[in-house]
Amino acid sequence: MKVTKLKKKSMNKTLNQGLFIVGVMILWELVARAQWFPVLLFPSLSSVFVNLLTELVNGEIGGRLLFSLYLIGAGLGLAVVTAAVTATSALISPIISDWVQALMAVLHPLPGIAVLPIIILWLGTGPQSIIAVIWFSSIWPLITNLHTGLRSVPATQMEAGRNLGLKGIALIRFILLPGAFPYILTGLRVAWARAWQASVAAEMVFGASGGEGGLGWFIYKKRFFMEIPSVFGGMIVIILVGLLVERLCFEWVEVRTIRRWGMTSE
Amino acid sequence: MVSNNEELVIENLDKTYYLGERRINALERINLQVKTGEFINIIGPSGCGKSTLLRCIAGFEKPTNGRVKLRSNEIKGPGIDRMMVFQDFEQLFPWYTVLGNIVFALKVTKMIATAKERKEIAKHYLKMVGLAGFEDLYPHQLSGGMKQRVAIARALSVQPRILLMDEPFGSLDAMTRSTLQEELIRIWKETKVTIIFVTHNIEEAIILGDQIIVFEANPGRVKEVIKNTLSRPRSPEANDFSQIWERIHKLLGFKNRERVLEERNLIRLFQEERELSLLPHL
Amino acid sequence: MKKMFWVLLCLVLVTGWSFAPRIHSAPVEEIKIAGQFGLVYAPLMVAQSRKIFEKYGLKPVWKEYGSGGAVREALISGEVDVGFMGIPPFLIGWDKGCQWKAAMGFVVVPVGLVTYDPNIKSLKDFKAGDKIAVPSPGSVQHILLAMAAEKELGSATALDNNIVAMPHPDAAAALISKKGIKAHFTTPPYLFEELSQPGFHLVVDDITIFGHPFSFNVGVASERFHDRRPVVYSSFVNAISEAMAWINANKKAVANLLAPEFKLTPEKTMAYLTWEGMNYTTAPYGLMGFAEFMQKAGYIKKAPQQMEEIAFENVLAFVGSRAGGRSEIEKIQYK
Ligand SMILES: Nc1ncnc2c1ncn2[C@@H]1O[C@H](COP(=O)(O)OP(=O)(O)OP(=O)(O)O)[C@@H](O)[C@H]1O
Ligand SMILES: [Mg+2]
Repeated sequence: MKVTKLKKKSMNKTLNQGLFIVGVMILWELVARAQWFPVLLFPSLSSVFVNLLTELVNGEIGGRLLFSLYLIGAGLGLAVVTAAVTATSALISPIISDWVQALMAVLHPLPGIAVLPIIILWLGTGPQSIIAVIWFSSIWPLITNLHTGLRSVPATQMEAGRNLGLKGIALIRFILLPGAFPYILTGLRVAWARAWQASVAAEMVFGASGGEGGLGWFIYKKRFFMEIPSVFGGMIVIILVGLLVERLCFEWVEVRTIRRWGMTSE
Repeated sequence: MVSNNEELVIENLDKTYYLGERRINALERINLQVKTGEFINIIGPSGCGKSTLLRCIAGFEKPTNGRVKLRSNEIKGPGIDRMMVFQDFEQLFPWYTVLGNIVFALKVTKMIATAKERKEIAKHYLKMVGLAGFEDLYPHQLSGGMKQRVAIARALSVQPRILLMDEPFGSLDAMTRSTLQEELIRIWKETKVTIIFVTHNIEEAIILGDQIIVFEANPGRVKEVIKNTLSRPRSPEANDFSQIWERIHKLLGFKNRERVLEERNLIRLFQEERELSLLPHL
Repeated sequence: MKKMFWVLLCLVLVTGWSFAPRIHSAPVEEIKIAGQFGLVYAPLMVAQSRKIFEKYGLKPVWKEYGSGGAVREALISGEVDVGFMGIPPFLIGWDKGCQWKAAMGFVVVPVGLVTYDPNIKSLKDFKAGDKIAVPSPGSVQHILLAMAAEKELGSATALDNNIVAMPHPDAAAALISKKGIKAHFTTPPYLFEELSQPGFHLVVDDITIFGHPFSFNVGVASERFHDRRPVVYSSFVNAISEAMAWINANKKAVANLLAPEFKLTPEKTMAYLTWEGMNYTTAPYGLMGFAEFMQKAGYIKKAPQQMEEIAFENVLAFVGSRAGGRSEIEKIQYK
C-alpha cells in the first residue's frame, strides 16, 4: 500500500518537473519566434537543436566533450588522490589536522577560477593549467567531506574493527572508508559539479589551445564566430552530461550503497 | 602458582585519567582471577570504572600500573581471543548484511579460508542466536534486540576465549532483556566460553553470574566479590535469590526498602548519575 | 541644514537637466559609443579631450567593454550606436545577419607575429606544442595567421591547433617572460614593446601576408542608427575626421596629451605615434580582401559582391567607382 503510494508520489513529481521543463522550452520557442530580441542573440530552440544535431554528426561537439571529460577526469582524479592523502594524514596526526582545517577555512571560499591568473603565470596556458584549476576547485569539497566523514564513523565500529585485529591501513580501508562513504559520495558530487564549472570557466577565460579545447573553448570560439545556436548547444550538452552523470553514476551508486545500508538521512 | 584453569589474572591494575588538572582514578589496585568457562558479573555505580576495566582487558586501553594476563601472557593490545559486545546499537557495520558482518569477521581474522565455509559458519552462529532466516537484512532493518544478537554471534564466530559484554542488554526493554539472558546462558553452556558481563541491574547479575564483583566509585575499586552458587535456572522468586539481592543492594549503598520500588529508583538514580557523569565529557 | 542643501542641489540639478534642451540654442544629440582605450583608439581620446563631439552638437555617452566580442554584442542589441572592430569580426557579424555596415576606416597599424625563439624563422618552424597567442578566435590576428598559414603551409587551419586566446597585455607579459606561449600576433604598442626585447623578432608581418596595408579597425554603425538619425551619423563621422586630421598635424601635442593616459613618457608616446606604418585615416583599406579570403577559408558563408553591401554611402563615395577598371583606392580594398 505505502510503497505504491510513495511510487505514485515520485511519479507525480517527475511528471510535474517534466511538464515544467517542456513548458519552459515552449515559452523559449515562442519568445524567440516573436523576435522581441535580436534573433542573432536569442535563437529559437528548434534552431539550437538542429545545430546541435549537425555538430553531433560532424563530431566536433563529441570531440570537445571527450576532451572536457579528460580534463575533468585528470583534475578530479588528482584531487581525489590529494584529498585522500591529506585527510588520512590529518587523521593520523593532530598537527596536520590543524593545518588542514586552517587551509580549508582560508581556501575553501576561494572560487577555483580566481586562482587562474596565478596558475597561468606558474604553469602557462594549456591543459595543465585547466587541470590545475579543476584540481583546486574540487579538492576542498572532497577534503572537507572526507575530513568530516572519517570523524563521523562511530567509535564502537572502530573498536569492533580493532577487536578483529584491524589496524592502520586495513582499519581505514575496511572500516573508516565505508563508514565515511555517505560523506565521500557527497564530496564527490560537489567536486564533480565544481570541476565542470571550473573547466568551462577556465576555458572561457583564456581559451585553451584550439585543437585541445573542451566544451568551454567550444562555446568561447562559437561566440566569437557569432554562432549563437552553437553556444546554446554547448550549454545543453553540459546540462545533459551533468544530469546523466548525476542520474546514472551518483544515483546508481547511492541506491546500491548508502541507501541500501540505511546510511542516508532521507 | 598458575593453576591450569586460570583463564585471566588481573594484577594490581591502576588506571588514571587526567582531564586537564583533574586526576581521575578510574581503577585502583584491581586484583581478580577468572577461571576458564566462568561467568563473571561486574556491578557498581556509574563511573566506577566497569567499562574501563573491560576496555583494559580487551586491550583498547593500557593500564597505568599493573597488568592483565590471559593464560599467563600479558595483554598488549586488542585481539580476537577477547571479543567485546558493546551496549550501543552501532557496533554492527551498516554496509554489511547480518551474514556479511560475520563473514567479514571470519575473513579479516583469516580464521576460515574459503568463502563457502565462512558462510556456513556464519549461518551456524546466526542460528545459535536465533536469527536463522535474517541473513540478508541490513543492520538498519533490525530491532535493537536483533542487533545485539548479531553482535553476540559475530563475537562468538571468531571463537574467542573470553566474551566481554559491556551492558549489552542495557538499552533493551525488560521482556527482550530476559529472553536474551536465558539465551545467553544457553549459548554460554553450549560454547563453554568465559564471559565477563557488566551490568547495572542487580537481578541480571544474580541470574547470570557465577561470581558477582561489586565495585565502588571514586576511586574505582573492588568492594566485594560474591560467589553465586544458586542452582540454575534461577528465579527471582526464590528465597536465597532475595538474600543475595539484599546484600548487593546494601553494598551499593542503599537502605533496606521495598525491593521492586527500590529497583526502579535505582535505575532512575543510575540514569541521572550517568547523565551527570557524561557532563565533563561534553 | 546640510541635508537641506543636498536636497536643494538635487532639485536644481534635476530641473536644470530637464530644461537643458530648451535653454541651449543648438540641439544636442546623444550618441552611444563603445569606447576603447589605447594607442589604436587615439582619435577617440583626442576627440573626447578636445571636445570635438560637442562642437558637432553631439553628446557622447561612452560605454566600455572587456573584449571585441562584447562590443559586437552591444552593437547588435542596440546598447551602442557605433563601435570599432577589426574587419574580420565585422564581416563575421555581417555574414550572420547583423544589420550593420562600415562607417569609416579608423586606423592602419603595423601588425606582426613576434617570437623570442631564434629557431623560429618562418611559420614552418612552429611545432605542435608551440602556442601562438591571438586576442580571440576570429580576430584580425587569427585571420592573418590563417592567411599566412595558407600561403606558407598550404592550409588556412594548419596552425589552428596552436592558437591560444589571450588579451594583449597578458599575452605580452607571457611572451616577455617566455612562459607558456612561443609567439604573439600583436599590434602597437605591444608590438613595439615586444620587439624592443633582445632576441625578439618578427616571424611574419601584415604587409607580407596581405600584400599591402589594411584597416586594422573600422568604425561600424547599425543600419537602424544610420537610417533613423542621419544627421547624428554624419556629425559623428565628421567629428572623428577632425580628430584624425588634428592628430596627423600635431603629433607632438598628441604625444603630450596622451602620454599620462598611457602611463608612458611623451618621448615614447611620440615614438609610437610616429612608428613607421602608423596611419590614422578614415579611408578604408582591405575590406573586400578579407571578405574573399574568409569566405574561401570557410570563416564566413557569403562574401559581399559589392562594397555597398558592407559600407555606408560616405565610404562608398570616398572609394569611388572608376569607369574602365579599378582606381588605386578601389584596388586597395582587395588583397
Ligand atoms: N577516555 C577517558 N578520559 C578521561 N576520563 C575517562 C575516560 N574514560 C573514562 N573516564 C572516567 O573514568 C571513570 C570510569 O569510567 P567508566 O566508563 O569506566 O565507568 P562505568 O563504570 O563504565 O560507568 P557507567 O556505568 O556509567 O558506564 C569515569 O569517571 C570517567 O569519567
Ligand atoms: Mg560503562
